[in-house]
Amino acid sequence: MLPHDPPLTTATEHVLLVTNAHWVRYVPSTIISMFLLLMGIFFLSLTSTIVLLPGAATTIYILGAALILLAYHKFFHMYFSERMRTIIITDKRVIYLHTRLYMAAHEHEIPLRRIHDVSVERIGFITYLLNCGFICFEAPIGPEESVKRCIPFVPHPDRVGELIVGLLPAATDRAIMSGE
Amino acid sequence: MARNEHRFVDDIRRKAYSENLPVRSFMSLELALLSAVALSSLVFAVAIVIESRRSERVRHAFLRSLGAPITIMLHGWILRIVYLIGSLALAVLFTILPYVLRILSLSDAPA
Repeated sequence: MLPHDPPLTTATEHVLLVTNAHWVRYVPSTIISMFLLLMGIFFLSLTSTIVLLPGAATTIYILGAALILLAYHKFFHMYFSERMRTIIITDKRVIYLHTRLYMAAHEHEIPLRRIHDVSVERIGFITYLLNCGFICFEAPIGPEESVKRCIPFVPHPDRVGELIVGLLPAATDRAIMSGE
Repeated sequence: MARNEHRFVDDIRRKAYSENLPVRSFMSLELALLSAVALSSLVFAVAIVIESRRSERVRHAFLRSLGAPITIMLHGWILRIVYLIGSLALAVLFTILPYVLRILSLSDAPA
C-alpha cells in the first residue's frame, strides 16, 4: 500500500501505510552467508585435492561441513527474521516491528503528538540508487533534552517522511483537543 | 611389464587411500560428532520454521487489530518447505556420506 492510497478506517485510528522494509536489508547477511559457504566448500575441496596429515584432513573436513551448515542456516534465519520487519503508520502513531527469531523482538511505537522533528537520511550512493534510507524522529524528553530514534531501510523515504510530516499538525491538534 | 604396471597403479592407489582420502581415517567418534552436528542442524531448522510461523501469526493478529490489510505470501511457505527439504538433505549428506565413503574406500582399497 502506498502513501496516496485511501486510509483504512477502524474504530479508533486510521491505518495510512503498511510496508515492509526495503529489500536491501537482506544484502549484508546474504554476503556473509555466501562467504561462509565458499569457505566451507573450499575446506571440503581442500581435503580431497591436496595431501594432508590424516588428523588435519579429518578436522578440515568437519570444519568445512560445519561452515556449510552454518552458512545455510544463517541465510534462512536471516530471511525469516528480516521478512518480519514492518513499518506501520497510522494517524496517531508510527509503529516499527522488527524480529530476530529466538534472539530479539522489537516493537517501537512513536506517538505522532510527541514527535518534534522528522528527518530523512540517506547515506551513500547505494541508498540513492535503490531509493531507501532512514527516517529519524526527534522527540523532547525534557525542557532542553530530546531523544532521536531512527527507522532503517525505509523504502521511498521521501514520500514516507512527507506523509508523517503532513500528519504532525493534525495529531498535535487532536492531542490538545483531547487534553493529552 | 604388465605386472610392473599393476604394481605401479597399486602403489598409487595405496598412497591415495592412506594419505589423501580423509574419510578413510575417520574414527567412530569423529563420525558421531559429524552426525550430531548434522542432526542438530535439522532440529534447528524445524525450530526456526515453527518460530517463524508463530511470529507471523502474532504480526498478522496485530495488523488485524489495527484494521490493516494482511497479505498471505505464498513464497514464504515455499521457502519454508525448501528450507526444511534442504536441511534434511544436508543432514543426510553429512551423516551418511562419510559412512558410505568409508565403506567404499575400505571395500575398494588395494590389497
